[in-house]
Amino acid sequence: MPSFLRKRKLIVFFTTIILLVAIIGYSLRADEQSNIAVQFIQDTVGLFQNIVYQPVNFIIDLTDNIQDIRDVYSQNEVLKEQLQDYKSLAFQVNELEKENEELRTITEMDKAISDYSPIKATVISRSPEQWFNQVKINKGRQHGIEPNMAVSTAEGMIGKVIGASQLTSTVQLLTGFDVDNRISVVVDGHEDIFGLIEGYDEESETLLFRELTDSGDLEEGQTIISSGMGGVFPRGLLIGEVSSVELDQYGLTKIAHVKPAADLLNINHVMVINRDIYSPVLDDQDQLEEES
Amino acid sequence: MRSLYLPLISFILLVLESVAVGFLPETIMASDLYYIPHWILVFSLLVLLFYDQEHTYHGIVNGVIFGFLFELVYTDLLGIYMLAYGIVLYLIHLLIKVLQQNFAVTLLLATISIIVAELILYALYLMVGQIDLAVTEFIRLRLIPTVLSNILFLLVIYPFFAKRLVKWQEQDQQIK
Repeated sequence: MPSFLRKRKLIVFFTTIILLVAIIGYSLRADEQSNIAVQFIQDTVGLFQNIVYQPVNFIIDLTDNIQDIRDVYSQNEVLKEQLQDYKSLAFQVNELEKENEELRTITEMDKAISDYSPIKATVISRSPEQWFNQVKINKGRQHGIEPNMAVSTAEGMIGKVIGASQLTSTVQLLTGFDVDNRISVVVDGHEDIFGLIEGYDEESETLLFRELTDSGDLEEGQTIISSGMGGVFPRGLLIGEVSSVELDQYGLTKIAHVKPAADLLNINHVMVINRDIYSPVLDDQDQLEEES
Repeated sequence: MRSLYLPLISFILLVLESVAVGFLPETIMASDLYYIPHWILVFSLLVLLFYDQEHTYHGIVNGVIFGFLFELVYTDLLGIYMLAYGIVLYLIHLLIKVLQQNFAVTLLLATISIIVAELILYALYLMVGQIDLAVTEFIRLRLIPTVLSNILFLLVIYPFFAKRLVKWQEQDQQIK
């Protein structure tokens, strides 16, 4: 009998190990949240997170407001000065927009690659496992969110949706980007300098921008925006500013360190960005789902 | 009814873990240190120590199930927390046959279990390529702050649950 018991323990042990390896392997490649049971669990937990987070958010907003009130006077002085410039600028923008619209109707181009419709959402939790830089937001497929959409705050891009369930979705922050999540970017104002954001450098807290062109004009202080050429994001999302430029390890291409424009630690209200122009990744996904 | 308490408390902890991370002040978030809440592990350990008897496995089952749910909700990879929590709780289950139930022992076992769980997590994440971190860095940046913050959590929940779990167990015995 004891030998049988020991054998049974061994069998249980090995089957568990095999099962675990299978699960790890499966989750390494699959998009979990396409599974309905997973979506259900995500939404249930999300519901409770929402309930807990509402009062927390309220208090955070309140303290922010109190701090704002303190700064109001000094800000007001500065803003008054800027208002003069702003008026003329607004007038100029108006003119340009009108002109742009006219030109578009002439060329019969109704959608531009930079057009997008934002979906407003609130962050309801941050992943406690901080090696995964993920946050959860309170909008999901029901509100039109699909995996791979860009997510940004008013200051700039913060990440992309990696999984969407019915009522909540998961956002991968830029700090967790790697070779699997690349962004096609250009330097604002220099169309000839483009490349890819290839990952995040923990030490310098900057994004790594690999230049695909060999222009030689890449400099510190230049602004990096999304180019829209990756087929998913719209053009013109602010990503960051170049903080230093260096050669890569083979000395063939240039790598720039880009400081993200958005504050990735303190995120409350975000916009999920759905680009208006046809996107092979997002739109074909819809079709596939409808067909199946 | 009483059998619902344990999963219910674990579920509340599961939700609160993420909220607690959101509560951390920005200065702590901005530093390089990681404070990972292992509240489910700590709670399962208490269940194992004070609720379980020699032939019951409530603590281990609780830890494994909620470890899995934790991964489902908060991370991309499944099975790693489940494995880590499962192994640690099983080892503790083997250990407690020779130890007594008191606060010092609980504190010691909690420290050991968090350290072992963190080491397993580190090894597995390193293996699948989720992280790229030297062992010394891992100990300095993640292991020490995580152990300390979870011990703090244990100090908070110990007075609430230690006696209560023993009481629940005795009541369950009477029903049987």
